[in-house]
Amino acid sequence: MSNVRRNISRKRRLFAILATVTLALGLGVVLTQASRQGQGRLKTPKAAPRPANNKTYVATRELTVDQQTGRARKPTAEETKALVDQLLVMTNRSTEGLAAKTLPDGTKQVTLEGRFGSVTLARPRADGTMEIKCVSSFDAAAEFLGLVEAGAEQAQ
Amino acid sequence: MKTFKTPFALLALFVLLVAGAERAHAGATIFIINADGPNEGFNDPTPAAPVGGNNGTTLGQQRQIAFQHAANIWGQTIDSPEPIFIVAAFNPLGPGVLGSAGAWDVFSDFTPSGLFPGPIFPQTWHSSALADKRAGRDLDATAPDINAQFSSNFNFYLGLDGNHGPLNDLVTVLLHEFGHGLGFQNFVNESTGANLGNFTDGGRFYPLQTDVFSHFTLDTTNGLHWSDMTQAQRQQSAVRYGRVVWDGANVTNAAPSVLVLGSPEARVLSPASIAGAYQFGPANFGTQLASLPSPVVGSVVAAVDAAEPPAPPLAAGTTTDGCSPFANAAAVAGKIALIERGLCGFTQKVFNAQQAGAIGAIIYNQAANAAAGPSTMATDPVFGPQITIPSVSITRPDGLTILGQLGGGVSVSLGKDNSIRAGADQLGRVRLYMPFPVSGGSSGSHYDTVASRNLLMEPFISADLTHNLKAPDDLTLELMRDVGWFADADNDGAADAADCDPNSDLSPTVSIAGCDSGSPNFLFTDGCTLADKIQQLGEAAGNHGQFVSSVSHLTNALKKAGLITGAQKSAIQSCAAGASIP
Repeated sequence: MSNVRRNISRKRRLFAILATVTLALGLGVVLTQASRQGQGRLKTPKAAPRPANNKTYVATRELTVDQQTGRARKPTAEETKALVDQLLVMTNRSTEGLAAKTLPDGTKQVTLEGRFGSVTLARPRADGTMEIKCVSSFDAAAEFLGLVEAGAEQAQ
Repeated sequence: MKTFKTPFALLALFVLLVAGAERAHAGATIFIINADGPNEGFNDPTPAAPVGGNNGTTLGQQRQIAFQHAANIWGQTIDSPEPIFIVAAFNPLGPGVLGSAGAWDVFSDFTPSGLFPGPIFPQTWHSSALADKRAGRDLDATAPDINAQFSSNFNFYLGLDGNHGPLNDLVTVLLHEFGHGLGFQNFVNESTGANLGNFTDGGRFYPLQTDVFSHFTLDTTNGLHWSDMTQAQRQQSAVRYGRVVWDGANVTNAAPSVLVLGSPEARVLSPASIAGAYQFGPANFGTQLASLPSPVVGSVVAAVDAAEPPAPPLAAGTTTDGCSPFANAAAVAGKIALIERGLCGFTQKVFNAQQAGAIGAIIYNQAANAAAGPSTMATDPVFGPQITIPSVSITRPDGLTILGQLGGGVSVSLGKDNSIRAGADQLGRVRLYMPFPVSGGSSGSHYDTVASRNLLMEPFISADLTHNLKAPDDLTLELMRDVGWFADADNDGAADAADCDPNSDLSPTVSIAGCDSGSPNFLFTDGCTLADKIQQLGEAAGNHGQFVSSVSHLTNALKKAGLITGAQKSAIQSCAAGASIP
């Protein structure tokens, strides 16, 4: 650092203290404002439509813990159907019904409504730990979780 | 000493109207917006003991602290003048589902402002937070930038220190998912290859448009980026395992400091028409590819064995399943056996290949598994311990591709290629994860799973990841740089590399050694503010007289250019005269 900068630094020490206090007060204001802004942005995505998929799936992996026995077990048919429905919505990448607008300066904006996201999944390993994978499609999710079309489970 | 001899020199660095004090200095501020109701998720009152530096006293508090911790890590890694808002909630999700996250909205063709450069590419979707950063303003002040929901019934490790033991680290998962929301993702429907668009709203048609990520997603088989492909080409590219790479300069330059040399590969060497790395599943028996002192290289021969009669409940075997001793053992000896999956276990097939004298084995999926990816091949206590040769599993399409070329000879290498970094191609470009199957979309918004060391943005979130997002620990920040998150320590819109002062004094008024002139502090187009320039004059001056003189030159020129008033000029000159500089 040059002598000049050191000199400036010494001279600014008191100023810096004052500035810090001011900044801290200012930061408080900024944070408060931001929090308020944040609450104004409290939105949840519209429920994305469930993409058409009339297949029936069967769970081939133990993904859930039985509440009564405490043992890992495969999801029931009902649980599997609910899981498939949830995954189909979460991995939806269709543009059907998306809202878009063009701002006066030409900016284009599309609100994704929770689509085009990534889904994090977990499945148990043999040692009891969980393997985690991030997917962006239903088929990748189904493969990871061992959800196979009814009738195809013997092909494993 | 810097002088400004004419106002024209200043006009060349024309002043921008910048409210410097409103700029967030260094990094980015990320807010978590709690979308949970009373007594759930972030508000869950269940008492919790402190864990790994997370001192929240309830489960809900600990979740909030972990979320904010992950947000802060990102905030310290990237720069943005605009706060980033993540709306988040914990909900009961289905078995095996931990959560989901993504950008709230996308923007294109927004206008630049001040020094902020605007879109990195025209007619290209940018995720919301990235668009705000490059626009220098909040493009939608009513909406969050990212939305996230996570499972309230999964037992995450909520500590902040990464010492998660056998549990799964919530902070790491959040870092990964926030990365997607910030721009580490394409907006392509990978099952169809379609870009985002092709719909009408408010009477206006929105055509298909590419996204920033796709501009750097390069298919090495045809030399095209996804942004330049037809829909059909993108659809085909999405299953080209090992042949789609990221060609952004920041990632490629940093890769050698992160990825180790020695990539485990199942690679077709010839014929050239099908040469390349193939997606494979490892075997939990025999010699692992990474453990081979050198790759096993050989010609491929299809195994032929007896067609086993049906033995209910088992169906009849085939002459290609390798479940019986090979009938063409002489042809297989010294070669790599190609075997079809089915009827018997993987180990039995590979054992039979070994007994025939094969030096390696490749097992491809049978018709019933035509849409499946290659399996990790389990061992068994009967054949597994007897197997010494290396083997891999591959997809059915890949198996049929090799099978179709056997007439002309196919040469394959199984092993570690020490000239290639694990996770990169031969040219050092980092591979993206384009696995088969992809009939519902692949995961091209990830690095390939063959990367070593493990990377945060691989699809599998490994237990050995750190919370550091940049080289030499990781390549996440480098990709974010490529997609447009340029380094901008003072968040004035000028990238640090081209900024006259990357840490500008952004005070609203010009002060000299504690003397506030009250004159507005301008930002010039070179990234320096007026305060910066006066400080530089002080550093360059040989004595106080020179400093005062140079400040006078500067302020006179500014006055002449109409950028400050006479009173402001006098106030600055007065402060300069009274300062003990140098």
